[in-house]
Amino acid sequence: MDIPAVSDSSWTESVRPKFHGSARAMFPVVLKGLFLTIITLGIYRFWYMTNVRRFLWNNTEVDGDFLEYTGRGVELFIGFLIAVAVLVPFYAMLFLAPLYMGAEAAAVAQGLYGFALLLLAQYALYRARRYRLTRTIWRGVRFQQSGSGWGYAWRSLLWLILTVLTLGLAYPWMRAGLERYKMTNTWYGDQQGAFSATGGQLFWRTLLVWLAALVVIGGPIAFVAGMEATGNIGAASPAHALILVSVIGFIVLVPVYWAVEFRWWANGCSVGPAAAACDLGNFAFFKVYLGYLGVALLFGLVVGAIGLGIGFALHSGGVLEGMAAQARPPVVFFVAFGAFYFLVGLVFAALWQVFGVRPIWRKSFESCEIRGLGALMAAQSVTPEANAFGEGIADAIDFGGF
Amino acid sequence: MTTTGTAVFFDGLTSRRQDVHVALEHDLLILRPDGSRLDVWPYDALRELSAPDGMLRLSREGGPPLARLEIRDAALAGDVRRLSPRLGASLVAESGVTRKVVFWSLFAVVSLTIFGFFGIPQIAAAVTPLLPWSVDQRMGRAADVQLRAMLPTGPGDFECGAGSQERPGREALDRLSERLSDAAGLPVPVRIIAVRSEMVNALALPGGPIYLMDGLLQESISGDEIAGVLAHEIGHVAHRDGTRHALAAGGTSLVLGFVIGDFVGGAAAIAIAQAASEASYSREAERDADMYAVGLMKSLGADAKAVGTLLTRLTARDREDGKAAEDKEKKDQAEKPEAKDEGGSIMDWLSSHPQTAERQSAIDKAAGEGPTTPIMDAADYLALRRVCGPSR
Repeated sequence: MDIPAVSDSSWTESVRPKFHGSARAMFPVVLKGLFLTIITLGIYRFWYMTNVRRFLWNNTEVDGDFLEYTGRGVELFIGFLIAVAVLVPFYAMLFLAPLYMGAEAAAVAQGLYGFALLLLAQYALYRARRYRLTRTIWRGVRFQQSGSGWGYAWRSLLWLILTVLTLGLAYPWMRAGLERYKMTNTWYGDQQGAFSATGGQLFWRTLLVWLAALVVIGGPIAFVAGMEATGNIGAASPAHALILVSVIGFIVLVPVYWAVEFRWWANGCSVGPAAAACDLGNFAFFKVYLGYLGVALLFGLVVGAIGLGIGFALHSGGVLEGMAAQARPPVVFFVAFGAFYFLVGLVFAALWQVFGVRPIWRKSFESCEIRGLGALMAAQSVTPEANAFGEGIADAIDFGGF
Repeated sequence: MTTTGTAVFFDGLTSRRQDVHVALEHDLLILRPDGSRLDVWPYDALRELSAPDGMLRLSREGGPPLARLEIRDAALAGDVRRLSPRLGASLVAESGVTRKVVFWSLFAVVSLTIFGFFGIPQIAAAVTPLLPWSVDQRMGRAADVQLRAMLPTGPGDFECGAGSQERPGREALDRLSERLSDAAGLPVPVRIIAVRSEMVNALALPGGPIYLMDGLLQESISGDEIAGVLAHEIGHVAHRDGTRHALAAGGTSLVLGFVIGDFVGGAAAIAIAQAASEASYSREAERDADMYAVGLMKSLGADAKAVGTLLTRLTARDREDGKAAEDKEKKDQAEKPEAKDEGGSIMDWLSSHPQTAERQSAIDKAAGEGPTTPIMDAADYLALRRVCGPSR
């Protein structure tokens, strides 16, 4: 890979970030990480995640200089241990409550636990964001997040209640409110972030997607349900094929919605004098999914062919019949089957990282222009970086993502 | 001879980017474009950081933690590498940590696996007798609610015996269960529920409730056979097999599931492994339940050999019918994984039933010879067969 010559951006020009990580460079990182993750029953995943982030950050270039990720696997691991310490008694109570309580008391207790878990999840989400930001360095200055995890958790809970009460109508304003909290608490050195996008904008921009979803997804389901309710069609009539329309509609509309929302979000973000302007296409994320689907399908075909070949070889060799005659097939059979299953799952997961996560990362960055970057001069913030708790509970609850 | 080249310098205090010259003398000199000295970094304080391909990213040990010198000139980077003795110290330490993590994780996985599959069932077996029976009953009630929602049943109530045509059958079943329950004398009442299901199966929930599927009723040829199956299930209740099993499964999944965390695929492996360990675990439990049933039947003066005859007949018929029956069996299994599987398929190994012939001979041996009286009269048996409505 060639490093581009140092660009000399003038103060007014806008700068487009660039991502240089190729699939070929990422594949070994992912495959090795996933393999070690499997044989250590998941313990290695903190180091794996760290390596993937390093790859993504290290290959992201903004105005000639690359991002740096300074997080370490051991930090995430310690965070995980803390989360286990907090969550295990919690889960144990959840598991034992129905045994020692009456049915009603157990239901109430489980409801309360669910509520607490939701709050904890939001807290963890915010803390995880803080961890990632404080481990992100650009031009020798680190990002930082102020605000409090519990403050964010309560805010998101109140917003969630409001959204439920308004049957989802408040959702765009919830997104805007929470993003505003996150961005105004985001710092690049001593430069504060801001969020200028509004819930009203998101509402109008996504209205069409929601309406399309109502027609394409809700329509066929309502039609078929109506027909079934009136007894006009049997168990498996051609009308049921309409459900396929719903499924396809869902597959297309979710990434489209995601892209529209991302564009809205990115356009609202700024740090100090630098503001983003995003021109992500409506179908950009959908294309990523389509690409991944194609690659996965191809791999699936190869695996299927290999599986058939092995099956045929065993069959013609009389091995299968020999096993069927025995009461207990040899353990080797199960071990081999298990190993094959693991290997295939491993490659599928790796393919998702390389052909799903990587292009989404790339498009998220490359679709944004940053204006006023030349005027952004930050001094190192005096606040220390987030402690070594890593992402703690967020990892144990597992939110995925970056 | 000194080497020089260009680099990019960030002082770690501001985001100002400085294009600098680097001179490799007795120390690494960082020079401004006008030649004045900006900073001096000793070679043994240089540390390499992770960076994009083609870039050497340096920090200075003991300096501002975020001060960076980025060298993109391959020749200069090569010279820096040669001159700096401890360049890779942080990266090397990190890979050492990684090796330790992988090694000890593997070790922990082995320990946990052994504990999960052998230790926890042992603990569950030791703990179960200490628990009050009310725990079994609560578990049974919870399972009852879930199963009622899950099991596919024919038209009508889940439980047979409510309709006017079904009432005589219900009464016959109640008489039978009262006799069995009295003879068993468990600390919890045994409640037998005729389930409107075509599945050829019967199952005991922890703490008393026993499901008797209509499908099994229709396969029987005598009241003794039904009583034998029920006695076997009462044996599971008496031995608290369900409770022990739920505790063990819950404990294992809690321990292993939490360690595995989010990783997809591991859960499936555990499930396969658990099913396998369940089969070997259940074999003993099944034999014990058989022996319990034989004792119960003998105490009632009924034919104890009937405990196994229904199962034996189903197995034999299954083998004779060959393909057709196997297909039906597979269909049954697809509908309900717990359906009995006596077919000679690979999955037989994973099924929870020991070899039928072996079981029957053990039952026959324990049953002994001697006069027996049928447990219910012909009229009661016919009524019982119709507990889920007129025969199909």
